Amino acid sequence: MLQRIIFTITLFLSFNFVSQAQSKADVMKFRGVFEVHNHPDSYEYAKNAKNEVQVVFSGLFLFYKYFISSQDRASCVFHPSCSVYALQKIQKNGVAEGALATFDRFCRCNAFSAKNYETYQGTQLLYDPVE
Amino acid sequence: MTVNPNARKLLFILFFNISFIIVAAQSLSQVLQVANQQYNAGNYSMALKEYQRYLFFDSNAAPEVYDHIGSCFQNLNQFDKAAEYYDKAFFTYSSNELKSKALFNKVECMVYMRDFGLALAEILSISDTITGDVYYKKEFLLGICYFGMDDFDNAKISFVNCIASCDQIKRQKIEKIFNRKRNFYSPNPKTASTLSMCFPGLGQFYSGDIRNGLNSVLLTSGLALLGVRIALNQTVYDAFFTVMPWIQRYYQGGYIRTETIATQKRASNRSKAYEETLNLIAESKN
Repeated sequence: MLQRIIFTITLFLSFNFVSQAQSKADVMKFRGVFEVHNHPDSYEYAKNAKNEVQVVFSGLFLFYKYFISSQDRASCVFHPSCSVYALQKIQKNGVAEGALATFDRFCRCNAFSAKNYETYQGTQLLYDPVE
Repeated sequence: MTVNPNARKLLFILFFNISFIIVAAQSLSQVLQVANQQYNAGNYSMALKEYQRYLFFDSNAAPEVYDHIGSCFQNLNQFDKAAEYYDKAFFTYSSNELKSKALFNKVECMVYMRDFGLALAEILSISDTITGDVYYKKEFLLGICYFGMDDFDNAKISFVNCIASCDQIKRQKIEKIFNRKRNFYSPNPKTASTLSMCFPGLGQFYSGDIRNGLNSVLLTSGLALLGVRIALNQTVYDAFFTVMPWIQRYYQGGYIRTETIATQKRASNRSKAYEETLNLIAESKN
């Protein structure tokens, strides 16, 4: 019985007098655990237009993204979205080829396209980047 | 003196084996030494490689090795693996002091992984009879777990208990933060969504997002005006079939997005309250 009491007291003391004093740093390392990571896309790629044509199309793109697309429900099935694809294609291949590729993309942007594309992990949308 | 050739052969094999074991044992202790050096220098990825090499040859390693591996993974932000090794250290340590330390480290990793339910289950396994610094540490981690599980009443109790009872001012300040309901429950995403259903933009205004609120009002009212104009100049059917799909799209998009905006705003308010609480607790520590 005595042995049992001594054992319990030793156990109790070992739990209480350990050198686990909580410092300021110990508390502050839990900063940001509940931080909200909300970084809306700033469309940087649309802000470095190199010529007048790109300025016009980038402007239209930004207007659409900030004032129209921001109020829309998620309707495009692709990643990157059709508007981003259009801008990237125009920046890369010029207005004529970019417009044709965009028209082609619009025709493919529907629920029946799923079987032809892989899924993009980040957004779970169909992956169709500018080649 | 002549030695039997078979006996000489046997002696040679014996000597070779023993020397090999000694050389291997030396190199293993050297591996551990290098690992410890790297660990103490803060080169966690290098230390990890050495420790894992050591574990490959000695699967019954000392608990400190598991503890150090856990710490290496934690410093490399691989919290799931860190928790796994702290768990091994917990079961290998014989002293209660070190066991509790390993358990707290494991819970810390679970908190970083945002697995608050599991962390809570682990922390609740610690005896209720503890006092002093271990008690404050337990209450602090309990508070974080309850907070993460949206149980703000219990989080308040645990965070208040983190501060010594003699520091009543800080305790009251924490209670005040938690008693302010708007810190945790406002804006309500469902209310925001309903408001936007009643009138486009209203939910965004309620959530404090003025830009999106104005945007929604302008877009949907602009489309509605276009519909009226078409109805006056042509027919109501024309207006309905041309403008209605667009209005429906942006009206629906408005109230769906409002819910997300309100959820983020509420999470941001909760995060602010948490940071305020953390600052108060930190101020009470040395």
